[in-house]
Amino acid sequence: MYRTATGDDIFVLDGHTHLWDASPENQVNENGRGWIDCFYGYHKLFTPAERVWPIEHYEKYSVDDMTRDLFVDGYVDMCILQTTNLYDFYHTGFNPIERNALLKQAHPERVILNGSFDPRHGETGKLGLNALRRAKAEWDIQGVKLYTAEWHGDSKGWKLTDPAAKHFLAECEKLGITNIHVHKGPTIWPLNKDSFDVSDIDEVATEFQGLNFIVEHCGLPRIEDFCYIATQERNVYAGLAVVMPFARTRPRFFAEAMANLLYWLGPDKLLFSSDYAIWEPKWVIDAFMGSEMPEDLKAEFNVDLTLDVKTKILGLNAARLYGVDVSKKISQLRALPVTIGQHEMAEDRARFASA
Amino acid sequence: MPQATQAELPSREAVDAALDQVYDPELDAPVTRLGFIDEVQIAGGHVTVRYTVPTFWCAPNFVYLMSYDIRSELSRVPGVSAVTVLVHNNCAATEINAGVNAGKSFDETFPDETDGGGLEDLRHTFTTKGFLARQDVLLRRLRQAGVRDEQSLALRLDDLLVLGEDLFVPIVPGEAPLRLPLAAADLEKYLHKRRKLGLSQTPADLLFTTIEGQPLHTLDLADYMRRSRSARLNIAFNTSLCEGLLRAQYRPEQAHRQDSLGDSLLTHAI
Repeated sequence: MYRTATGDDIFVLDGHTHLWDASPENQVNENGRGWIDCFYGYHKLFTPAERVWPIEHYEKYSVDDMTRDLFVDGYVDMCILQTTNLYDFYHTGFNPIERNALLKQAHPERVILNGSFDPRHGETGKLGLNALRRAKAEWDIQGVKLYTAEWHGDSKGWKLTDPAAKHFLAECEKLGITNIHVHKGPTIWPLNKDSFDVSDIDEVATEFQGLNFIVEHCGLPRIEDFCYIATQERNVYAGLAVVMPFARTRPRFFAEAMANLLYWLGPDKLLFSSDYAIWEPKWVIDAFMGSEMPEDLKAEFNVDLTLDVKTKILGLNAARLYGVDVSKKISQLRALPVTIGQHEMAEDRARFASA
Repeated sequence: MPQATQAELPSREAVDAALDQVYDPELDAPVTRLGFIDEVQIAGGHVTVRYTVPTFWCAPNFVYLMSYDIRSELSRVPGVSAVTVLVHNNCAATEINAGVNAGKSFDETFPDETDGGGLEDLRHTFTTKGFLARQDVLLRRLRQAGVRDEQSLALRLDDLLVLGEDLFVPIVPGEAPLRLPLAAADLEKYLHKRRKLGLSQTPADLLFTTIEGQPLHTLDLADYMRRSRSARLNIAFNTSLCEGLLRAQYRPEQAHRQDSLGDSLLTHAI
């Protein structure tokens, strides 16, 4: 819970987190090195100097580290663990569902575990249809995270509009996996077109009305194209990773992005995400809660960043998508102190007792 | 082959000026001002440029365009007989370095990974975004100076006067034109994009049109400008992000800097 200066408690559901292993032992090739180095650049760029992790820790952290950073220090009541598989870059994958499940097992009431699919894996591949069905059966997943720029053999990516991808989306609809998180990345065939193009989301959002499409980092680096698509589609949402850290160091950039997102999508379709461990939720949330909408943007876009809007973004919107009854969940978690390893956190127990 | 004389060798100034003409197509800013250039070596008529892009996953098509444009611009500098361009920190660096320096097109550089259509559509898409962004800056600067929208939309190319760094706009016939301090650069950046789009440039043409040359007074201007403003935001946001990522990883002495070339694009005409 985040407690405001005036004593209001805000439920926090972090919409995009990872438990990854990018250690040198797990790297297959220079792409595995390049991937984590790029992430580390994002980490260093926005993180307050005193909170920057050493690269060794950033490459691989434990369930206990994550528990502390999210549930003890980071105001986070619940998190969604998203998959990023990258089997061509990391021997056991970067953060596939199997690794993420370790946090789910440690904190079943606080963690929403998402699955994944890759249309190039067919029926029987690691990320194929059978694996999707198994993940539903074993974990009752309600969402998947897709990375359309994943390298797979000779392929440098895929589109949501590929016939095979639509086949998987239809299967998701059938299985009741309704939340499709899309991470748009570069290098999609054909390489001579804009590789961050977001227009494939438009088509599938229209076609699959039973699914919600949550576009991570708001379609950046194509936020304006994303906004026009999202405004036409009832079932398209924005994950706010990458945008939110700007609130700390570049407040004007943050405000301008939020003005656009609030204008085109509205306050009910924006989801807080720290993208942990790219960034820690504590300082991201502190910066977000301290942010304000400048008068000129209020006037032009007719939007504001009120406490009500911030509350929706920090937790209520994601809770609605995942069927979490927030007041029930708050009572349940109050009676369930966070444990790290086998040791109960005394200060956390005290925090909940006083709440 | 005749020996090159001293006078025919490329000067550092001419090489630098040529590099200033190379833009990151997505960020609409010169690669020199973005801090991408690591090293420029001039050995006789042979110029070698080494540069770094902000992330390993920067789209190879944009990286190719920058390498290609560096080579093209430098090849036109008097005295340059050969150019080598080497990009660092990209997943496709090996292919791009080999392809560009051998004079291969993008489709030839990535024979199985394109649809054969080249990169002109991509360039056009981003020229359009840059056009909207630059037009929005100019329109809003006029607004800030007190010019009414209908007056701005009626302006013709030959109505504007540039004096030094300032822009002068006639508003009331017979009266002194309105002065917009330091706005000459905003006009020049916008006109540059108009030229890139191939829009008509005769003196009687309207200054403000859509990318198709349609007058803006026929549109819902508030809606049009909100979209242009989003295009501006996107460029500014990505510029800030890319500069920051480059500094965080490869320019440790500048890692503390928060300023960005995107700052003025975002904030100087709001």
